[in-house]
Amino acid sequence: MRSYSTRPDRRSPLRRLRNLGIALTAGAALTAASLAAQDDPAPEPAPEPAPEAAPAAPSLLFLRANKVIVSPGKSLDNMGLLVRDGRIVAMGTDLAAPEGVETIEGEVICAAFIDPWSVAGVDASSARTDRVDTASRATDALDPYGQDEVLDDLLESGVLMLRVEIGSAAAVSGVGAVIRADGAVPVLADAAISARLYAPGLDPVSRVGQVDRLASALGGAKKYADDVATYESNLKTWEEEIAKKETELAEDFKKAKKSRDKKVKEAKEEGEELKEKKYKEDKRPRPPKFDAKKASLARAVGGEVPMVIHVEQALELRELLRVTRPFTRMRLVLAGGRSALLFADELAERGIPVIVTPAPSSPGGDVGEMDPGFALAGELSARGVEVLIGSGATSASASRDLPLLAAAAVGHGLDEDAAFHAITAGPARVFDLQSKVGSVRRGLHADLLVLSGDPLSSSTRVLASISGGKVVHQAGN
Amino acid sequence: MLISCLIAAAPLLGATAADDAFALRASHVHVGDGQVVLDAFVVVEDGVVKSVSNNAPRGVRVVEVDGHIAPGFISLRETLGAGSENAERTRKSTPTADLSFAFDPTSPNWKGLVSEGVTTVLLPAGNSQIAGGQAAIVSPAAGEVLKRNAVVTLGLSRAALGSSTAPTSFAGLYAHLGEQFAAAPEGSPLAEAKAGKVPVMMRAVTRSEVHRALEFAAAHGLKGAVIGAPEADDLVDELKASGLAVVFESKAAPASSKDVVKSALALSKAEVPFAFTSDAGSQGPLGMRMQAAACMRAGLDAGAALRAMTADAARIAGVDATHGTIATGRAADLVVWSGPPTDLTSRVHSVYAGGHLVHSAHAHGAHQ
Repeated sequence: MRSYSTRPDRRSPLRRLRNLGIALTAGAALTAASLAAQDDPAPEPAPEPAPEAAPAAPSLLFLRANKVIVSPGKSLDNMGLLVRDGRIVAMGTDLAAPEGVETIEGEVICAAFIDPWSVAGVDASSARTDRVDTASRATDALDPYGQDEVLDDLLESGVLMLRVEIGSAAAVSGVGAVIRADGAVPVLADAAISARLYAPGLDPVSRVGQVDRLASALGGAKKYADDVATYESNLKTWEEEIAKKETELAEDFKKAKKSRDKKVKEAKEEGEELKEKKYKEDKRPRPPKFDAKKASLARAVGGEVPMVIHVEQALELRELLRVTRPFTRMRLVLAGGRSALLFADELAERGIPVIVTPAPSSPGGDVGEMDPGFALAGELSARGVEVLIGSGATSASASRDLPLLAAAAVGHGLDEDAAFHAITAGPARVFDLQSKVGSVRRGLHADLLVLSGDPLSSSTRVLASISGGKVVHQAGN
Repeated sequence: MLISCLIAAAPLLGATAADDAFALRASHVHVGDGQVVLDAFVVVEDGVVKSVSNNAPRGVRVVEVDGHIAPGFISLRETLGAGSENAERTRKSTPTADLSFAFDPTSPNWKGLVSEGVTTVLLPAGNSQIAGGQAAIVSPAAGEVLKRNAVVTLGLSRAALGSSTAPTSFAGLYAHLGEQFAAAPEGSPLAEAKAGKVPVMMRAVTRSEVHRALEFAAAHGLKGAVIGAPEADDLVDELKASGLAVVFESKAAPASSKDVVKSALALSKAEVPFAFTSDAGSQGPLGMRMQAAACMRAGLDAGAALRAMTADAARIAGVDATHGTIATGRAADLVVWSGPPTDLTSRVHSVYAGGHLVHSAHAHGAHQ
C-alpha cells in the first residue's frame, strides 16, 4: 500500500473496478455483500504524508516580512505568519512571534516556486527510458538518495516543488507526480498523465500517425470508461433488485412459511412429495476485463487528472487540437509549444495552458522561423493563454534555473505577475493543488520562501526556504 | 530561408545612417566600471562617446530614453557565427592563424546576440587545438573585425589531446607547446605572448588542468586569462598570485553552473577579475546574463556582475582602451535597458554599435 496521497476518489467506478480486478484475480468468491464491502475500500491515507513530520523539526515557526505576496499581483504589507505543524495557522500585521519560537525575517515572503515540468528527484535512467506505459508511475522511480545534490540545490534556489515525469523517450509516459524537493516526497502521486508528440527528424506522415495513435488510445480509454460506467450502473440495478427481493422475502417470511407448511401438510396428506418452485437469482452483470493502461488513460479522458502533452511543431499541434475536441472533459495541458502562437485563440478559448520552457529561437530548429524564442511566454499570455514556466525535463539540474527562466520571460515581454503565476499559483491550479500550495493563505501548507527582494529580481537572494513547515535552507551570512 | 535571413541581417550591417552627433538621456547610466551616473547625458560623436555628464549638451539632438544605459556586453567566446571555420582539425598547432578569417558577418546567429545586448565578441580557436591561433575581436552588429590578432588562444584541456595522434598525454602536450614557444621567431604571436605584449587565453577545465596551465604561464611569463576553470574557487590563491583572470564558459543545462556561482563569488572576494562567454549554452546569448544572474542570486554584487560582462571582459581581451565602458573616447556601443542591465527581468529597448542604432525592440516587431 502506498503511504502517500493520491487524488480523492471523485469518479469511483474505475478505482472500484481496479479493486474488484485485484479481488477477482485473488480468486476470492465474492458474494453481493462482500462486493459491497469492496466498493468502499479502506479509507485513503490522510492527504498529508505522514513521514514528513520529522521529529527534529520544530512544530512552530514565525515568519515576518515587509511584503507578503499572497497571490500573483496581490500583496499585503508588514505581515507576520505563524506556521504550526506544517501549515499557515495565522497571518496578520499585529501578529507577534510567540516567545521562544524560531523567527525568520526578510523583505518579501511568497509561495515556493513549483516547476511544472521536471525530472529532478527521479532516477536518471527512468527519466529517459522508453519502457513505460500509460500505467507507469513516476513515484516508483523517485530517487532521493541518488539525486540528493540536485535536490539540495533546488532548496537553495527556492524551487521546492516539482511535477515530475518519467519515460521521456516513450510516446505515453504514464502517471506523473508532484513532489517536494526536500527528500523527493510525493505531495500528489497522480498529478497528470503525460504523452509526447515530439519526434524531431520524423517525416510528416509518421508524425501525424503519432497523433492518430494517441487519438485511438484516448478513444479506447473512453470506450473502456463508458463500459465500466455501464457495468457500474447495471451492477447497481442488480444489487438493488437483489436487496428488494431479500426484503420482500424477509417481510413475507411468516406468511410464506405458513403457506409452505400448509402445502407440505396437504401434500403429505395426499401422500405426495411437495414440488417446490425454486428461486432463481438474476445473472450478475459481468465487469469488463480489467486493463490497467486503459484505466489509467481513462482518468485523463474523464478529466480526473490533467493530460500533459509535449508538442512543439505546428503539424502535430494542429492535429492534436482537432482530435481532442470531442473529449470535452479532458483537461489538456501543452508542454513546450514552440508553435503554440499559431493556435493561441483556440488555446485561450478551450482554456488549455501551455508549459513554456523559455529558450532562444534557433533559426534552423524544429519550428524554423516561426520560433519566437524567449518571447513565446509573453506573447501567449498577451493573447489570453495561461502560461506556466517549466525547466523542460531535459536535465534534473535544469530545475534550479526556474526563477531565472521566469525572469528571462519577463525580460522578453511577459508581465511580471504572470511570470510569478507561471511558477507558483499556476502549476498549483493546473495540477489541482491550489487548496494546498501556490499561494499564501491561512490553512494552506507552509511551502514558502523568505526573500531579500522581489521574487524574480536577479539581485534577490533566497534567505530561507520552508518546505511543508520545515526550514530546509537558510542563507549563510 | 537563407535569403530571408540575409535580408533580416542587413539592417545590422551598418546600413543605418548615423547622425554625426547626438545625445542619449537616461535616468541611469552604468559606466561599466561599477559607477552609475544618475540622470545623465551620453553624447556621441562620430561613433565615439564624447562625454557623460549631468549637463545638457548644446546644439546636439537629444534622445530621451526610458530606462538604463549600459555598455554593450562583451562575450569572451562566441563561435556560433563562425560555422566551424575556427577549428583546424588536421594540425594541433597553427599559432599564426588569424581567426578573423573565421568571422562570417552574414551568419543569422549574430542577430540574436545583438538583440540580447552583446555588441563585442571574441572569436577564438577551437578547443581541440593546442596553439590554434590568434583570436579576433569582432562586432556582430557592424559585421566588422574590431581587432585582429588580439589574443593568443591555447588549448590545455583534455579536449586538445588526441586519441591516436600526438600528443595523447598532458606531458606530450606541454612538451609540444614548450617547443612551439622556444622555436617562435621574434615578432611571432607566441613570442609576443611570451614578451607579455599580447594576452593569452588558456583553456583549462579541471583543477589539475588549471594548475598545469598556471605553472606554464608562470614559466613563460604569460599574461591574460584561463578559460574554463569552473572550480576556480579551489585555486583562488594561485590565480591571484598568477595575475591571470578567469573566463567562465556557459553550460548546456542548467544555464547556471553551481561551481561557477561559487567560483565567481570567491574570485570577486579575492579581486581576481573574471568574465563570461555566450556560446555553448542552451540559453544562447542569454546564457551569459543568466550565469551572471545566478551569481547575483547567490550574493554577487550587481556592479561586479556588470563589470564581468563589460569593463573586466574588455581588459581581459585587451580592448579596454576602446570598449567595455561608457567614457570619453570609447566606442559608442550602448544598450538601453528597461531596468538594471544585469537584471534578467529588464528588456532591451535599443542597441547602438559604434554610434549606429542596430536594434530596436519596437522596430523588430516585439510583442505588445
